[in-house]
Amino acid sequence: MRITESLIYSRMRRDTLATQARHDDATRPLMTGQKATRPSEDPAYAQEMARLDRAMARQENYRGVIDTLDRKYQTIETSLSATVDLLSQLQTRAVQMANGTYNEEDRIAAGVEVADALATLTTLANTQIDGRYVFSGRAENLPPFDDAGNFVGDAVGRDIPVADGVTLDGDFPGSLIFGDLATGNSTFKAIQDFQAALESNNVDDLKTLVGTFKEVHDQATRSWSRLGSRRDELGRLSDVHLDQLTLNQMLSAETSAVDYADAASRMRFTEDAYNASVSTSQRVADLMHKMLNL
Amino acid sequence: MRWSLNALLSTGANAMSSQRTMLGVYGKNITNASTPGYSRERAIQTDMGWGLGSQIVGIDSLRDTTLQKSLLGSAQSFGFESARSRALQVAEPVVNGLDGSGLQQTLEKFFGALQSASANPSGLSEREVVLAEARALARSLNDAARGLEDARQAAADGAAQTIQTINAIANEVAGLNQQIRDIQGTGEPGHELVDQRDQLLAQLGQLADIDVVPVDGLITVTLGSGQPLVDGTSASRLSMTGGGSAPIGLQLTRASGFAQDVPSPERIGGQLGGAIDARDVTLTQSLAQLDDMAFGLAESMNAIHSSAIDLDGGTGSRFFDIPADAKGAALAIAVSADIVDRPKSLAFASDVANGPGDNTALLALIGLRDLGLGASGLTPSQGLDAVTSKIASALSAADTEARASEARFEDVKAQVASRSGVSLQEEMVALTEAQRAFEASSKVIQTAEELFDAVLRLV
Repeated sequence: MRITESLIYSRMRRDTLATQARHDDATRPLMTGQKATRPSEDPAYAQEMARLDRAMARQENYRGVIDTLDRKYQTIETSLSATVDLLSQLQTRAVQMANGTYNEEDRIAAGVEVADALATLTTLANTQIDGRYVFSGRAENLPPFDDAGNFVGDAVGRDIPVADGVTLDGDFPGSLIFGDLATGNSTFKAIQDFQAALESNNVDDLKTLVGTFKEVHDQATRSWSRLGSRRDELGRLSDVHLDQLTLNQMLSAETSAVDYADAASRMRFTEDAYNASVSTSQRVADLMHKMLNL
Repeated sequence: MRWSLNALLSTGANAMSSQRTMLGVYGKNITNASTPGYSRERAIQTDMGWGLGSQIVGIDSLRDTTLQKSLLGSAQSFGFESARSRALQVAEPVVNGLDGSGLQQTLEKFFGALQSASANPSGLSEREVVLAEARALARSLNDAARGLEDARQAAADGAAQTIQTINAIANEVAGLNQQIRDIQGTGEPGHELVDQRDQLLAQLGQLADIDVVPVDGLITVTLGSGQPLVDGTSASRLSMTGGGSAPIGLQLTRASGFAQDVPSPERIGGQLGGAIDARDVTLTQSLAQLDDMAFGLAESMNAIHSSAIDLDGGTGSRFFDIPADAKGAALAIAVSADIVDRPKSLAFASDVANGPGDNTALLALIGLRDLGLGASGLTPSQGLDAVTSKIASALSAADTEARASEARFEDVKAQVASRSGVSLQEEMVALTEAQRAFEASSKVIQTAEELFDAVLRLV
């Protein structure tokens, strides 16, 4: 091939610019700490990063929902714990009062205590979070029980998405814990009956109520146990999300991580290539200058 | 054979004349060594026969028409890919989620807000967050659509600018054709004018796919479609039709006033074809994909929301305001005025009897995240992925092709330069050689004079 001076200069200019561009490309990962900063640099990488970002955002969000649900369950658990304690005390009291060693005066005095216990139970059943009744299910704007002890809340509750394709029951209807007058296992009715039996000094009724208290106590205890299972499930799901989140964070870090040794050596290589290109251009230019001086 | 002294004088004189011409040619080559598009010249020297010496019968310009044709082909390919790359680069920031921001993140935050609200659907603060994220999503979609529209407009502006340049070059080529015809009529080769014309054709080759056909000493330049852009000494005028939301159309108007559409404008090649292809294929399809995603999401949300129950027990309204069809949906989407500042108007319940904490409709809204929506049947995030992927892949391919075609273009340019360019070394050697030949020719005349003197002294 016939080589002309303008061809030499044109090549020198083009090759030097190309080595400069390669050097710029090689320094970018080191400057930004990212494998690519534009999707067109590596479309597959951009897609993978988008997928991981999406998965991580979703896992963070699920964990937030689980935390919210667990805070609600904690409040329910506090109420349930107090309810079970109260029913234990009432059950013990019923056994005592059904015993022949107590007289009418003692029973009337105990009736006052039981009235207080009924008021406490009503307060527990009306537990609220931010003005919403926790035992009313979806009808959270209304108290779960009417004055007679009928459950007037929502017994269905709502599903809360806690993982992809997985929902948990987000509510704990009061009827599960305190029973419902309509179904005959009402805790409120048991206490009211207890109070009436004490006031009327009806030992036979009191003896019957010992069994009733065992039932409503067991009912509350079973609910507590069920709540515990739900909290365990929430904890397990939260851990799964945390594990997945950690895994995705690692994958994201690995995917986007710059191999600094490789990047530094590429930068050094392109730097040397650029320097070589510039000095070669200089030498060729000197040579051509000398030749023309001849 | 007998030589007369006069013949010796003529031989020397003719040789000096030839060498002087050659010195002039070499000098011209040297002074034009850096003139863009200059093709080196060579004097054609022939023997005039006994007693006459040599003569210059013409001056040839060293150019290779095959290489010139190849140069046009590689120029149009480079022009096409580089213009396509430039046009798509404008759109890339719109879909770049690698910086931690972008549509995908906004979409995920919106569904995240709905999901958070599912645990407390009657909570006003949760509802405020849903509305804030819905507004952010609508704004992001508006911005993305505007960004893609701006990129389309920039490509259209680039195409319009290229058309102006094509028309200006076509006029110059037609003018040069006229000048070349005139000068060649006087017997001059007009190499300078041909060089200028070749230079313009090389520029034109980058702007559009052209074919150059020599006709009666002039040239005809046709577009890839076969329509004449320059026909001898008259130039046609290229103009743009369509634009806006419609695809770009091209029309070629001949000097006679006859106008004809250029078929498949995106296939016109060169920078013009690249800009049109980026605008009317990649960017238009990306915008349509974004519109489809926005429309599909908004339609589905509206269908659920307008049949659900709000916090006050009333029937819900539309969630998003959108146009009647998908076209322009991403640019126009907005949170419905019925709910935008009224968190209680968010309808998350399916039945008023279920109470204000009912989240049945809200769960259906959340479910849209993983449902295929719109005409494409893609989930919203898949729809956005498709937009990103389309632009990123097209840009990546255009960049790769632009680099490859630039290398081919530079190679052919080097071959052209190798054939037609001036080598200063070569010209200096030739100049020295011609100088020495000129001196030697003068010696012939000097010798003839001395011989004349010697003969005259004998008389």
